[in-house]
Amino acid sequence: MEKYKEYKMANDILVVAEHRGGELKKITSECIGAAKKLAESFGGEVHAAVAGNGTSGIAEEISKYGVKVTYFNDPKLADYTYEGYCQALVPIIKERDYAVIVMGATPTGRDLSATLGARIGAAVGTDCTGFSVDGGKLVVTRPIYAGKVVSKMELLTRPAIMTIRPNTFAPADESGGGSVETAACTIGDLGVVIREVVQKAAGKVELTEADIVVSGGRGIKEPGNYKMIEDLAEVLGGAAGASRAIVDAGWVDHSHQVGQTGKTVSPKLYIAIGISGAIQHLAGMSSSKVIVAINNNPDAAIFKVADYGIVADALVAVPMMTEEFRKLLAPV
Amino acid sequence: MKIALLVKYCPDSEAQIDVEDGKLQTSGVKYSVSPYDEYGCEAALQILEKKGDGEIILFSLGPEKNNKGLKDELARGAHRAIHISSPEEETCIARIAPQIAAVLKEENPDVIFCGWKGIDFDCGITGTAVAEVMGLPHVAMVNELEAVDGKIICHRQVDGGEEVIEVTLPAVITIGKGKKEPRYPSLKGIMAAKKKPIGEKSAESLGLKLPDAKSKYVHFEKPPAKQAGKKFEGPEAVAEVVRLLHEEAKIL
Repeated sequence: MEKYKEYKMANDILVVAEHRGGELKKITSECIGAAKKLAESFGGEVHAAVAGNGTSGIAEEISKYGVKVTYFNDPKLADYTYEGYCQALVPIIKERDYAVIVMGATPTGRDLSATLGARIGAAVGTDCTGFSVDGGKLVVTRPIYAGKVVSKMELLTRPAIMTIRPNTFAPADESGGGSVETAACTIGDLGVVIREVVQKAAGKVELTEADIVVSGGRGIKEPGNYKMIEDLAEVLGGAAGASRAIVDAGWVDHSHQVGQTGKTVSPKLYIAIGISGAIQHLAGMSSSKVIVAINNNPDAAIFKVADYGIVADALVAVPMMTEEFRKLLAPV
Repeated sequence: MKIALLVKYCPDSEAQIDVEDGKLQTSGVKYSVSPYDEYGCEAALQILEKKGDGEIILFSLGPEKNNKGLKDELARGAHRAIHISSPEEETCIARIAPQIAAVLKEENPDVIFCGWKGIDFDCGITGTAVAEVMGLPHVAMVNELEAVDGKIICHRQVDGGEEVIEVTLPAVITIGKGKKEPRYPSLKGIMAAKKKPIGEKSAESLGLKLPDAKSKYVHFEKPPAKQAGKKFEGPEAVAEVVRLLHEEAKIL
């Protein structure tokens, strides 16, 4: 049996912050929210680690959530790499004996959690939607089989690592009372070379973080009609998504795809337009809180999961919906 | 060039998964190769077509039925395969990765492809963990790639854009959805697959002592059934739905 470090009770929770382009990602405040609940169960406090180059402002921002922030500053940490982050984090993880390490189930968080887990011999639970602590043992809830089954998984190591599904845990309050310390780090070879980072569509809401997603499928008839999806998304302050059918047809880039071979989204509102509701699409959006469907075909599978369904031609209904929301959301 | 591809054989995405008494019921369910591994095979075939020669070797860890998945990818164009025998219930990466790594070390491939996640347990850990056990660099969730002079140039999505990462071989690359759909195996390919060799390995035959499990599934259940929603006819219903979203669902 794995020998736990019982002589020195591991109580504290570490959140690894995620930031890009000088901005703190929303997922970090959700991680801190989850971490605060974990800290209550384990009887410890929440720490956060930020790695970057000249990002002390982000460290300060995180401290407002009332957590102890450790800030690693190095030119080699300017862009996320698993090697850079591990070289910064592993020494303090070994020194401080955390109970749980929390990060987002984002491309960065998934990459880092898997790498870190292998390096320090820690169990990893990914894309968690809940957790419980039972006699000092962490049990995570995670969807499997594309959400068809909900599983509970025991993570038997200390630390254990969990990545949380975006938009699932409530963000922490800015309770104040946090602190920032700068930690020394020596970053060597990064193992890979980042040749280029191409930022498209600056200012657009990221699909996996969006509170509202409007998606289009084959029922929009022509590539040019995707604009009406984007218009509705914009009025709602949300992100525009797509079914696999129109991505494969080349109407939109794969980065918009929602579904089993695309992205998993958890918005509070998902509007599916001209989408039939194939299992593979549902896999990517079934945990949305409210689902609205617009489809010409009254028997479309999407209506089985929709909270509100409208059997209508998308080309007629969508501009009407955009106008209705515009009126509803107009400043009084 | 020697390309290794890790293959997961698991319930098909259309399969109905049942749960009884907190346990999974998957016997009798249709199995197929996990889609991201199929994209991996396609990426490997494209590299070999450009290079003119090379070899794709498949590796699959799991029960006897995984051999069917190996045959499917052999039919697509891979050259030979190795099945690592392991019980279907084995889910702990601390036990899985060392077995795969040990077999890969024997073969010494130039690059290792692995679907970024298997569509059964949706973990997304295996490729990265195998790379770490082997001490190899890795790039995750790659959509497009090119092999150039002992390196792979990887394109992957990051939020709001794209990243181009260069990794020196040998390395592990976990594969996301590619631009080109995996090709269908030809009848000729299916016939040829019957003669392609599939080797057998196990933790025992490799002389491996596996650690105790560090994680364990303890319960499964179906998610709560969704309540039937409201359905309306005609675009005139749009105004009513918007009102309901505001007043009933209180979403906006």
